[in-house]
Amino acid sequence: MYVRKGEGCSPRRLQLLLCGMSVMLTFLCMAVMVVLGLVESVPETPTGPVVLGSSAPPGSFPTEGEKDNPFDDAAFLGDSVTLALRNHNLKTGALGNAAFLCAGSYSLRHAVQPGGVSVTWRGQALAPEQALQFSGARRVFILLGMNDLALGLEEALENYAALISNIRKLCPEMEIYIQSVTPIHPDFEGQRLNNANLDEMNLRLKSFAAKKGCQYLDIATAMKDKNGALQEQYCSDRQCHLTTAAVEVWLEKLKEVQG
Amino acid sequence: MKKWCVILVLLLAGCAPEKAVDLQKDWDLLQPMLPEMLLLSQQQQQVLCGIHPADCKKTEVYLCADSLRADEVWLVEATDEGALERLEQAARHRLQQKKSETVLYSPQQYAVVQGAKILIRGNTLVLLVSPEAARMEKALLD
Repeated sequence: MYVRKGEGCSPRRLQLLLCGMSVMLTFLCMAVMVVLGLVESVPETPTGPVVLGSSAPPGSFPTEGEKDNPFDDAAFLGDSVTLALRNHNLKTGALGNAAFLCAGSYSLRHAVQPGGVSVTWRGQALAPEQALQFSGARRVFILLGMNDLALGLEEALENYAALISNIRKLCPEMEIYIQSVTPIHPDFEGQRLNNANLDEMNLRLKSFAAKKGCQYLDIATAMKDKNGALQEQYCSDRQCHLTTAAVEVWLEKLKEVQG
Repeated sequence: MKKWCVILVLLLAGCAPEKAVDLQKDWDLLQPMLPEMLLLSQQQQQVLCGIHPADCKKTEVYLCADSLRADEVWLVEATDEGALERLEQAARHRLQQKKSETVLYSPQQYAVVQGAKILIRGNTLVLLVSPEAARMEKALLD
């Protein structure tokens, strides 16, 4: 029986109490049986302690696939848009053992300023450069900026520069790919967060990448409709999140740089 | 005859070895209340959830296939009491992380995380993150 954590009698204490009562009852019954002549003695057996619930078959854990994937050395750093890629990979394994350092509402500001939302590695909230170091990745694909646009393009680019600098300090050999921010559904466009500003951000990111010695990967163009917005078929929520079809488009773009 | 008497007495006294934990049975109870879920491998559990393989005898850990939903279920049998404590801490960290991710942009998912349940049975820990967490808890407690 399960117990709700933190309520009522401690399950551990209850278990100990019941066990103690059981042992006492057993000795009592045994004594009665010996007196009645039902048993002469209980044979001693060289058994070790009984480990409760140890009947798990060996190899209970699924084993990892050993096939090499061109993205086994890659990490993906991003926000909720990248979560869709992560889940697609969990389902299909298209990107092999790539590491996913992403969190809903994650931004460039979060990436360079501690506190608030953070990426995690093995349950630990870390700065992205630390998580990258622990992951052992040699390439990182960054998709950030959409959650920063509301604060202004200049601040977003300053934070991007700080992020690249932090990564380079801790992981000097890391190959860095800056991915374009993806377009959004027309219904989701606002005063600052809109497709025109996202296009402007992508133009700036392209030259920024060249200046910083990073690769630039345009994943946005293939997802746009004739008005420059996210195509209906690629939008899962009439906001900014991607459908499986959009993720497939993204994967096609990644194949161009699979290394 | 005598041997059977001894076994009978031991059984009545409640000293029989604890029944093996059947996580699959628990999962079968929960699954109909959940959307499409993805089973995580041992490596994925460690990287995404902080579940250390050395702490676990058996695991069934699932994430929602829809990345916009917070739904998540852990059924983990710990190796011992110490491991159980570490797993519980990992579950609490995971919930904290989910809260910080959802608090600003998804009040609906934040409420789901707020209603999450952590249950303990012997050395087995269950984490339920779902809009149906209360119903799932009842199913397991019954």
